[in-house]
Amino acid sequence: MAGINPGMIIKVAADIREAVSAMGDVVKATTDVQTSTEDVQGAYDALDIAMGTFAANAASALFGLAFDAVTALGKELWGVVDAALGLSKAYDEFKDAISDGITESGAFKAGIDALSTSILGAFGGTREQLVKTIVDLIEKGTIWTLEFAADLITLGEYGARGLAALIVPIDALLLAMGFLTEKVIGSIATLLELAAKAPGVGSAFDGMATTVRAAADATKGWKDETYNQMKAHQELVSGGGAFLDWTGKATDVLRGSADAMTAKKEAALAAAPAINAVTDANAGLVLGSGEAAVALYEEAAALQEMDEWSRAIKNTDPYAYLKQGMERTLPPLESTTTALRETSRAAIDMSGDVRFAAETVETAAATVQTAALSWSEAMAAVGRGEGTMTGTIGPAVKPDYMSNVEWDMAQSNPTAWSAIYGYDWQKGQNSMRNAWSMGSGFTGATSGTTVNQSVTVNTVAGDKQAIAAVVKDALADDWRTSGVRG
Amino acid sequence: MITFTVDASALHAGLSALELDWAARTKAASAVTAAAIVREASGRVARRTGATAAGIHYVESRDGTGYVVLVVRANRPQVPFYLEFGTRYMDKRSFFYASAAVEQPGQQRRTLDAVEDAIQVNGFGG
Repeated sequence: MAGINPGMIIKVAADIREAVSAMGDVVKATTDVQTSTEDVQGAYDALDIAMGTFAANAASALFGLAFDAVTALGKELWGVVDAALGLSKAYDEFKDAISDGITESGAFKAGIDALSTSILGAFGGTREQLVKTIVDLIEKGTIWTLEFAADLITLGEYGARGLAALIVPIDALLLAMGFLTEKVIGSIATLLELAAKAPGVGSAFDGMATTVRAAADATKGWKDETYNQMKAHQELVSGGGAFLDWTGKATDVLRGSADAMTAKKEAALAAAPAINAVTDANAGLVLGSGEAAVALYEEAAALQEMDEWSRAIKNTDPYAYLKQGMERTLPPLESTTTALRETSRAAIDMSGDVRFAAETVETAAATVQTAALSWSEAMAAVGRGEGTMTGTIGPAVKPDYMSNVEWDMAQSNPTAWSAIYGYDWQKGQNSMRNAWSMGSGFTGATSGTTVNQSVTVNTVAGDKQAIAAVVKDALADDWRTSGVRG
Repeated sequence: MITFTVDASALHAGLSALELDWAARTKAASAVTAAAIVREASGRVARRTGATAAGIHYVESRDGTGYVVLVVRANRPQVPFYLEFGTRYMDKRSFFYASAAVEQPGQQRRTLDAVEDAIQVNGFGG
């Protein structure tokens, strides 16, 4: 070791790399929340324009609290909790206001009223567009709000881990985040329930509110059940524990709900053009029918005038021709036939559109749920032009009157039996008798049934040919009635 | 008009300030521990000439996160090893790493204090 002075060394330093990394995750999570916020902002801006400024103050207070909690993450945690607990009343007011705003909206009311009196009124014109626009906005807002809630939870997860790494009491943060998440999910469920009431496409959202309510229950569990386990700081920092288990499940549910809603929204939107096609075709049919009705009315009036003229020249005085004129001509039928032809064409076009629309709606509905219709209901629906039916014929079943041998042969070659035992034109031969005996060994002569028929002939023709014709007709009539060949 | 805004600048700035203050305070705590290790090792080391004890000191680490405690004896650099680990002619008379073990709980306590102080000072204390 001469010339070398290795010495002995002890390094004294605090390793803060893991905690700094956790804080980096917090910063990243806030970026996700900012992105979600922009989406929610866009949706609610559009919703606001479409439906007015209902409950603006309450909504601002609710969501302002969420972002205040993020901004003031480490500064006034207990103050945030107090503020959150004090906002319950404001949130309830907001929820009631938005419910009233939508249900009392002129657009919705007009749509529902018109639906009860006329399909055309409900789905035609600008009203339909407004209803669809509002529903679409609610859907977007709901989906984005789901994403926002998931990001909020992710932020809470990263925040909890980061602050746990700092060995800071995290109870206040988790309480605040739990409260806010519960409220956000509650608003989602409310929006879903409202969307389910929208005419035309609302059924696409049936049951979604229940799923989201389940997520809200999980949020409650976050606050209550895992509260005492959140102090396991090292477990949190290492990415384990009951709390992170819950956040994983909650975000899965929320993101799953968002994905499902996106799929259903696409299905509902796919159905909308089909509904428009039905509406347009129906409108054309009604227009054509109206023209045809006018033409027929004019035709009927002309015919009535012709009748009056006819009666006038026949049943009045000998000078009627001179008084009424010798000739009277019906108006040309061209207008009537043209209107009827156009109406027929519109009906044909509509039948195609209706079938297409029904198939499209059926495809969309299949995404939502499987319809349960009886056979007669399905046939009635097809008769109304609401869809088409397809099916699969099941396997053949041996009738009771067939022998096993004959049945087995018929499975591969339906004519095999006749080929072996004889065809109909070979009647009288033994092979055919065997065929009729179904293999039982009976070989006796075949025989028919004798029917005695009494025919009364009432004719004054006295001609054999005439009498034969009467008898022939009487026998034929009796045969048709009784089914017995005499 | 409902307005949603997320202003995370205060949060981000607070986290950045916390990280810097945290590093500075834990580094200062490490200096206290390093000095304590020097004192402990100097008191434990066997003395004949006092040269080994004089060579125990601490300097800032190259990565700047803390300090390193060194034992350097210029003329006979192997003597600290002989004392610490022993030879086939003599039993070991540990003084260096044993001193670090003695000061380890103090280092943990001072680090935790530094972390909590930084948290409090930067507004993350709740």
